[in-house]
Amino acid sequence: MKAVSPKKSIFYFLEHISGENDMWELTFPRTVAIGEGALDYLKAVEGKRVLIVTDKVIHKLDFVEKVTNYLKEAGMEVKFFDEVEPEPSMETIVKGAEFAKKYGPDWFIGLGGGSCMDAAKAIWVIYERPDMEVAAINPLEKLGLRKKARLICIPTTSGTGSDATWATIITDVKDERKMELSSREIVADISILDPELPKSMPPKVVADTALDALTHAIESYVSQWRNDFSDVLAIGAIQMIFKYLPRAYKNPEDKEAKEKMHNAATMAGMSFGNSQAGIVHATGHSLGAIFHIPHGRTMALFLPYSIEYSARDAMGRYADIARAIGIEAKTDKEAVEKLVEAVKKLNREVGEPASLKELGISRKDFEKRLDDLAMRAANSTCTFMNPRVPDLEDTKKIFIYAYEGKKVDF
Amino acid sequence: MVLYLTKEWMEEYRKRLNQNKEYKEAGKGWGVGWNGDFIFQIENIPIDKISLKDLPADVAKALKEYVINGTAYSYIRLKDGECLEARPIKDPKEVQVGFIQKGPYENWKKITRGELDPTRALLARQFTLQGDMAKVMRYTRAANLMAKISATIKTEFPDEVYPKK
Repeated sequence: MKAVSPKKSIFYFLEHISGENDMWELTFPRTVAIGEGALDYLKAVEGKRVLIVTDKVIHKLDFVEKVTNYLKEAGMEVKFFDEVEPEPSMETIVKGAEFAKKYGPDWFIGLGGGSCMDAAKAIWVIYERPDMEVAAINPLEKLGLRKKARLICIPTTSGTGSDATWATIITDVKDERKMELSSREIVADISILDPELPKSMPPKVVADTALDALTHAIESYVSQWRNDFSDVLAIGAIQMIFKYLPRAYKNPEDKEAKEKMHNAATMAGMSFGNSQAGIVHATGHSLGAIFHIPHGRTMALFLPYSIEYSARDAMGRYADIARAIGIEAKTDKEAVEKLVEAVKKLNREVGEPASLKELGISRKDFEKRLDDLAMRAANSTCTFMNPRVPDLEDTKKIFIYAYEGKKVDF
Repeated sequence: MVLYLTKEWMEEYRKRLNQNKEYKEAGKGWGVGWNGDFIFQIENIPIDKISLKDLPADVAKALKEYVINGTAYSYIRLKDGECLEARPIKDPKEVQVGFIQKGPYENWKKITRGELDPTRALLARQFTLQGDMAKVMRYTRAANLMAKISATIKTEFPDEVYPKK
């Protein structure tokens, strides 16, 4: 493969996009309001009753009053369901749907990070379809939503992309399993990206959520289901994250960096939402469900190992990413090695752990749960969209290498 | 080479599912305490484009018998990572199943050749699936392996091998 100089324009990537030719369908939010003052969009929303789905921490923040006032200005009654926990459970969804049933909203607002938006999506489904079980939300069935209500997502973190995707991750606590539920119908009608909101994020959350967004974009670009649209959004998001994350992490007052990160997260969401994630999500969901580690941190941790494992079957795609962020290399292999280093460097720069050991999981606990971790990851829907699909044995090895912090060599 | 749509093909499929350790593991628990059996409904079979007279007599007879109005049904009994039975059936009412997967013959061919991702094909409505989706979602790996294993069979398609001239 001949060397390609870095920093080519986006048109370079347009010439190199591959992807499937089979029929496929793309789904995006109908409206995305962006930029300073984007929350003003709420003043123009028409309806009677809004249910804001959020958590207790967000509920106390200053901007919530602004959101409430704007909605009241639009002539709407506002109520809150603020019982969403990190990694929302099925029980919370059922409770939220009960609350909604009594209140009768015609709008739901998912306000917060991924957990709040995911919960809002699932509560909305059960509110409209009380005959359904949470675990049965799936993309093959017509849900028939929007007969009673519609959905607005307002992310307050910059990573999840849930405001732009048709996925909702709900935890089955009893089974220690994150359920990757999805339906095209649950994509938000409106996504509001106001750069004011992520300002309150502490640096650790900035890092965790941003690495989640980076993972979305990278996994999307190499996904078996990638397409022309997801490619362009992915590359754009990757370039923005590498450029602005260190600034947003180091300087909470850097408005430009925070705004770019906020937009990049939704771009990455639009991208992977239409092409799917891969084994970083499969392994990360499994680890998160069993050891209760924040989602973004698990993404940051598994990303380099995943690139090392998957590159065998997607060398050119990862090399594209490397070159898009300015890495110079004579061969694709060299480009990919440098990409792994760049991801590790970025992880270090924003304080992410490099191994499961460093994350504080004891060897005893890890070994005890290794089979469960591997089995859950191997059964994840994300596994099958990865460019190289690991079997159970390889999945187990990925966990072991990630525990030790070893370079993947199989 | 085994001819698609025949009982020999179904028997070969059953054997390969049962020989596959990964499928055995991925399908563990499937259909235990509930009906995990499938009907594969193969539609729009171009039976009028197949030269039945050139086919081996028993195969021609079977095709005439099992392809009704361009549709054929395969019955697959699955339990706990094992395929207990796989055979063509004449009428879907003959059996009680938990799941019915339907799609046109051309798409089934693509799956059998490993050219079509089964999950993507379902999402893109190239197939439809009836049954308890929550159960299917928990066994994505087994479902994908089922398609992958079918693609390991060296298959001949009657409309390609015995086309009507």
